[in-house]
Amino acid sequence: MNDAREAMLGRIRQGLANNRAFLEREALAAPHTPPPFVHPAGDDDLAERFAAELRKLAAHAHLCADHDAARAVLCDILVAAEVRRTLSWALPAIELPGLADDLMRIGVERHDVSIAPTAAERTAHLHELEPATACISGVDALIAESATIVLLSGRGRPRLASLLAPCYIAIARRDQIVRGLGQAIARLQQHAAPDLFADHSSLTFITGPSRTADIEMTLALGVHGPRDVHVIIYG
Amino acid sequence: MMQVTVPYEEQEPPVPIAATRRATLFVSCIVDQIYPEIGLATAELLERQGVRVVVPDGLTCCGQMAFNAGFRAEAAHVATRTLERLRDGGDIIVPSGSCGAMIRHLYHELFAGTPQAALAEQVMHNTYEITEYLVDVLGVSDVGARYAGKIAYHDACHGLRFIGLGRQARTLLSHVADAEIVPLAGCEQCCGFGGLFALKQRAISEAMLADKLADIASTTCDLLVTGDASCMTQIAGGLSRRGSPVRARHIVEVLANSVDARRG
Amino acid sequence: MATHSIAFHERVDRALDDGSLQTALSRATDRFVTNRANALALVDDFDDLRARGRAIRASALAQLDDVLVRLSERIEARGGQVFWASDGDAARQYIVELARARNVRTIVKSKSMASEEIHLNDALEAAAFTVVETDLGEYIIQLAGETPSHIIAPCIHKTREEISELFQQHLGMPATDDIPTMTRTARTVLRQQFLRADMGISGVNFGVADAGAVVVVENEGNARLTTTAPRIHVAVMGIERVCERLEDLGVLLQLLARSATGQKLSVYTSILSGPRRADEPDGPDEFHLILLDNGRSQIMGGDYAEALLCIRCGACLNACPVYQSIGGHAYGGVYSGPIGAILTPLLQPELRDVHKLPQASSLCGACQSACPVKIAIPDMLLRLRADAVAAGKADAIERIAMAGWSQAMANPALYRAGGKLASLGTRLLAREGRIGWLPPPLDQWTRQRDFPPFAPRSFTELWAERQRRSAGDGQ
Repeated sequence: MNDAREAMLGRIRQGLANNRAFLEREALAAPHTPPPFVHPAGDDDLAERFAAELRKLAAHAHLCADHDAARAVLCDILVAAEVRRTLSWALPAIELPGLADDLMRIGVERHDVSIAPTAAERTAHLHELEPATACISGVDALIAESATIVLLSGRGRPRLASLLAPCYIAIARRDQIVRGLGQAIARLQQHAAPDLFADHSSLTFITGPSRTADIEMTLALGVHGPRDVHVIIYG
Repeated sequence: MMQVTVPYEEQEPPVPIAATRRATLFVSCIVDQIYPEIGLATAELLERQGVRVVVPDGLTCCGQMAFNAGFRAEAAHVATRTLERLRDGGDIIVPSGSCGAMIRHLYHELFAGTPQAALAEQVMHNTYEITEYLVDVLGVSDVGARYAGKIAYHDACHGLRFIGLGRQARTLLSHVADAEIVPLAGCEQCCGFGGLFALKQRAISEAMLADKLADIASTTCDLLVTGDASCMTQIAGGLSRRGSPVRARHIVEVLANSVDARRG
Repeated sequence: MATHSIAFHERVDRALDDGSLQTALSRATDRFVTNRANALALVDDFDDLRARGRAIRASALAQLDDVLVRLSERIEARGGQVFWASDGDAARQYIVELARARNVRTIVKSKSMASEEIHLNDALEAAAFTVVETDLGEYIIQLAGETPSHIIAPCIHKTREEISELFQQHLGMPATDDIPTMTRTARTVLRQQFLRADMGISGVNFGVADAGAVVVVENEGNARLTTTAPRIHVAVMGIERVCERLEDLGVLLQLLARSATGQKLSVYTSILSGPRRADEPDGPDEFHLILLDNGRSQIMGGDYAEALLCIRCGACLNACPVYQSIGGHAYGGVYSGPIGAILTPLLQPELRDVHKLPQASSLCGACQSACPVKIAIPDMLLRLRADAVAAGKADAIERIAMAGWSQAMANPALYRAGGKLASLGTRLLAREGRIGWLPPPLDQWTRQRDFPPFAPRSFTELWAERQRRSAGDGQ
């Protein structure tokens, strides 16, 4: 706490004395609850909807019957992209049995992220991780109407494993899909009540490949984050 | 905003209401001094619907120019007088979305906490723009107008965004016999008039006008129609300076069949 | 280019004369406007979403003192540190001292309007830190030594050729104006900075009080790297950028993405709640939240509190025909466009000609229509104009003209006489029914526009005559 805190709060309260009534009136003018989703909902299949939306973002969706098929698709992607080194969530957190064996079989190395707190070690470790060409993670939810991947960081769930490499593959079960953002937030809060952030310092929504239109409004993909995004949905 | 549930096409032709309805016509300073034809056309449109038109003596201006320039005392000085003239005038009709917006939207702030506040609220409540009055209040969609040509419609900003106009004008225009209404790209984009903005920010105003004129030039229209004499002045001034054959008119001139009544 | 030292009118003329700026502006704003319209068309009821967004923001501001206390206590409980900065000086000093105390050398930054507002980079560079902007657009303008010209697209005023030139000069890129190549070049250069940086500084889109978290929204991934790779994360947040609950984001993020870029959601939304937990494999070891007042509490008490609802989406800029004509730099402040014409006079009153910014509007209202939280921007511009007049900032000619106008308009006899005079004068100037030249200051009208002569007889006269005639008919 610093001295300015009380001074700032004092000024805010002074200001509110003039305008609180106006703001409260505006606050009451509409409900605050988020809609569960915002696009008209048909009776569409959520996985199909997610896949269609993801494809619009120039990313790839793979719908698989079961986890064996999912593993096979994952291996195909890694082999096709000639991936040798990956950053990933800890394998148990991805919940895809047999994944470790598959990766070994196709000769893909998996790097553990474990950033040390000292400056020098930290930089050195980041430099070690940087050459990885693919990231692999599970998900905490998928949002169908926007093709969004929802990730909580945490133990065995590095943030860099959806960020650092040019290719990112997320693996999800069909039952993890919700229709809209409102539903996704409600589900997360339910699962992690009372405090979603007790064990997780970050909640991330990823919607398609990294992109920019800063130069002449021309879309370019993969500017800082992954350019190739795959979502494998099974079950 | 008022909801019209019966599609206009299915409505019976308007039956002139017996002249029991009375309306006060406030033509605005610019119409009074520069475009009296617009005032006369407005009166005629109302009378044709059986409305008895009253024009109070000594009405001048809503005060918008000064208000918009930040001169509130001067605006209040003028507007107070205008309020007095409009007191108990029944429905008040203005042929201008902009003056309509000044009265309906900004009088509240101008007169808040003054002795005129209650009167201002009464006048705000009673004020209608002409197309809105014809369509939403009188329920008219066909006023018996005829124009052999192609019309493009520009949505003047204040009417469009502060009192929700546009639909009414399009309804009325769609019933003008022999006229073809052609779409105007950027019809909701400001023409760059903006009152004193046109003088004080001349260069920006000219740039905005140039965009508007380019949009007009890319249509096949021979008549540009809008609901505000001020925007019409800006657009007409640009059209004539560039030697365009397109004429700019106020919507009431089309509706009252007086497009050709004007000089120039 | 110190745009703030040049008179407003010169900045405007310069912008209007700059052909490549005009091309870039119309390309960018057209695209933004179209994308937004397309995105909105898909939503069930966008106006309902706007109403909710406005209510949510107003509710947070109505209890801002309490909301900020809750936010800061939650963040502190999670091991983060919160610094209450009354002004830019305090914020700059805190960050500089923190960087010194932690032996920081390289600092990476993701886009933050608040840090632009307090000229944070200048302070950090003066203290000999290496500061690297990592948003591609911000990086480009940093290389060019300029300031952002748009909230969302900081370098829309630059052409690809100009950017290629910069990259060749500063980064040794081979000559090309291929945008993907330029993007890759920036990625490679900036990636090295991320790996070596000791501190990452980000802005904040929303502070979520009850979650004890800040939200950072972006498309490139640079903000994720900025807030993940370095050991220290400093988030700079204007105190008004808050909401109460995590579920509020179910409304606010939807509004922000669609209004800003027409996306359903931005590519990356990071909701960050303090430093990494003990068992987390990565993330910053230190998390500092700067709560920046810098004039905001002052705004809270005045006639412009509604401007504090702003979520910085940039939709009002894109919708504004004035912004479309002159771009962001002409405004001279950090915030441009319609909302900038309100915020800049309030937050940066020292800038030259700042009282003229509210004049740079035709009051067309397109800004308010586009605003995701329905801020009454035109009404506030009008109030700022009134403030400027009350403060004696109107020029003498205008004051005299307004005094004369109000006398004439309030006095029908004077009004009629004035009308007659104008009618006579304008008809003398007219040729074939139009006037091609008016004397100063009205020549500002006639440079590119004709003006109509006043009517020989006013409506009032014609109407009186008509009444007399019909009364005569009736007898």
